[in-house]
Order: sequence, then C-alpha cells, then structure tokens
Amino acid sequence: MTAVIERPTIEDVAARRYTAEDFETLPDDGKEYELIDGELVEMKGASGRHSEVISVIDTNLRAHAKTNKLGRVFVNAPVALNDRDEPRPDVLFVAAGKLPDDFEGPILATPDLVVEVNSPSDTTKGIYDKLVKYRAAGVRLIWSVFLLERYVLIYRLGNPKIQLLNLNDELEGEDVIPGFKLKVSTIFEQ
Amino acid sequence: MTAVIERPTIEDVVAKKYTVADTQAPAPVGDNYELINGVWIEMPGQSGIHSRIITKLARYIDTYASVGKLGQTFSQGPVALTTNNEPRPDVSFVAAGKLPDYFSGPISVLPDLVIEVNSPSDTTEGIHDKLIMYREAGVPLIWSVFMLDKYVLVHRLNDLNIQLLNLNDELNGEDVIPGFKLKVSTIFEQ
Repeated sequence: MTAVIERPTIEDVAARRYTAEDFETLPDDGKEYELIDGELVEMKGASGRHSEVISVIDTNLRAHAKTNKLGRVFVNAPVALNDRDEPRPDVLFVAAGKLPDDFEGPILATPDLVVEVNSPSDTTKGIYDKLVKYRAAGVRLIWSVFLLERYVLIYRLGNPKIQLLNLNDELEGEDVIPGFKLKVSTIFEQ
Repeated sequence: MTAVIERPTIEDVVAKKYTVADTQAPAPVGDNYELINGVWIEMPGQSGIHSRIITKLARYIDTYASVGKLGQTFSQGPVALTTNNEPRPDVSFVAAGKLPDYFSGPISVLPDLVIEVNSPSDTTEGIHDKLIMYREAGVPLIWSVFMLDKYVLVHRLNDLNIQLLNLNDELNGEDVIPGFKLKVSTIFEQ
C-alpha cells in the first residue's frame, strides 16, 4: 500500500508545525522528539532518579498485567493521540485486545492508563497541556507523579476532581487494571 | 537607629550572591526582585489572571482579618525570611501583634500564612524550592495555587501529608486565621 503523504502547508512549515504523518517521515537526527500541538519537542535526557521511578512503576505494572493477562505496558513509547499530538508518556498501559501482537510505528490505540513522572524542569503549563490532551483522547486514568514533593495526582476520565495520594496512600488500578495496588512510598524508594 | 548595610564583596557580586542586608543596596535591586538562596531573581512578568487571583485572595483574607483585627495581609510584600532569602510571596498574612503599625523595609517577622499562585511558566523545581524555603523558615500554613487545573495544595508545618482542595472544597484559615473559609471556586471566578 502506498500511503499518500499530505505535505505540510506553507503556514505549517513557517510555524514549524507537523502532522503525525510528517512526524513519522522526518529524518532521524539522533534525538528523540514528542509531537505536541504539531510542534517538535525534544525529550530531555531523563535524570537517573526519574528513570528509577519509572522503572519501579513499570516493573510492578508489567508483572501484574502479565500475570492476570490484562494488557500491555510500554515505557517511553510514542502514542498517536491525534493528527497533531504524538507524546511519549513515561509509562502507559493498553488493555488486552486493543493492539495487534506485532505492529510498526507508534501506538495507535488510546492508552487506558498514562503515567507521567514530572521532571524538576517541567513547567506547570507543560504538565497541564499534556494532561488535557490525554483526557481529550479518552485516557481513563492518569497518574501524575511529583518527584520532589513525593506525591501523585490521580485524574479520572469524566471526573473533574483531582485526587492527591501521599506517601502512605496506595495507587490503585481501579477498573482500568483490576486488582493492581502499589503503595506510593514504594515508587520513591531507592 | 541607623542600620549598617553590609555591601556585597566583589566576589559576591561576581557570584551574584547577596544577603538580605544588601536589600538596601541600590544595585542590582529593583522593586521586582526576590532574594532566593543568595541570588537576586527578577520576578517574571505577571499575567492578568495571576494578578486577579492574588487580588481576590488578599481582599477576602484582609476583609475577614480586619473585622476581627486578626492580622495584616500583604500582596507580594518582601519578607526577610533568612540571611539568604527574601522572597515576595504572592500573599502573606502576619498575625496581629507581631508587626508595628508602621515599619520601613521588608516584613521582618515570620508570616503565619503564605500563598503562592503558581504561574504557567513555573517549574516543579522552582515551586518546590520556595516551599522548602517557607517550611524550613517555619511558616505554619502554605497554600499553593494551581491556576490551570484549578486546585490548591495545602502544606502544614510538621505534617508531611499534603492536602489537595478541588473547586468545591473550602480553604480554611485553621488556627492561623480562625474562622476564615473560602470556597476554592471563588478564587478562580471572574
């Protein structure tokens, strides 16, 4: 199959805006990018601590999802949310049956859970903009992890209330990853 | 009484390290500088919304506190917290009896309540650093306002748990401004 590639308009080029399709065809310059609002955003080198926390969440989620055959867990994988947004959430979970066993390119299904571990250099706007996009795309559960103050914010689809979990509280998979529980302090342990 | 002002040394100037005593020094200090960890930082330009939220909070608190003669409320007043820190919290409240009717220079006592309205461009590290600074200085109650997703984090001295208030929850003056209550949604209204 030959895909017809829509060329970016003059305005797109001037504003350096790309579609998800352009994004896939851009030459590799050795850097990793997210596509946010049609703009290329370079992924900052994650700190050791950042990747340690991601690793703990990934390991626990993966074990539970695999044992109970609930779905698949990805770290740092590109997700084609819409024509202008292809972020790479730190961790994401897609329920079983939504993805083919093997696939190329970004994840085309809407993740059921997205976890973002916010870096010290992230701005409140940068964090918020991604959350809005995940919610608009229909992500059911979002965990927004704050490394420095060591708390997690829980966003549920269709619920305007945000919940804060402190160190002694427990992350729960709810109806997204049934049976999954993880004490918040565990993810910050060294 | 004439205060002896310690001028920064050449080394201090080169390293941009100053102390609160230098506040009176003509350079490099303007009206919109904060001293954070020994470094004078120019406060970012405020947005209209930011200023509206601060005005509302200060007005509600001041109106309530004035009636009961509970204390004084300041908008972005400089607070001499430590030798190396003289922030300008968006709103600060000092309980009655701690400050004279008239005083020159910065607020030289510990505020009982500090409110920071975080800007979209603030980083999680910048927000964290200020929180630590206030907590270490012993500020009993801190409200950290997030204007994009409209919630408030409440930090209490000697309590490691952070509390999140959603739009329908109420800010509470607790034992700092006894009886003061304000619905969170109020501060985000037009």
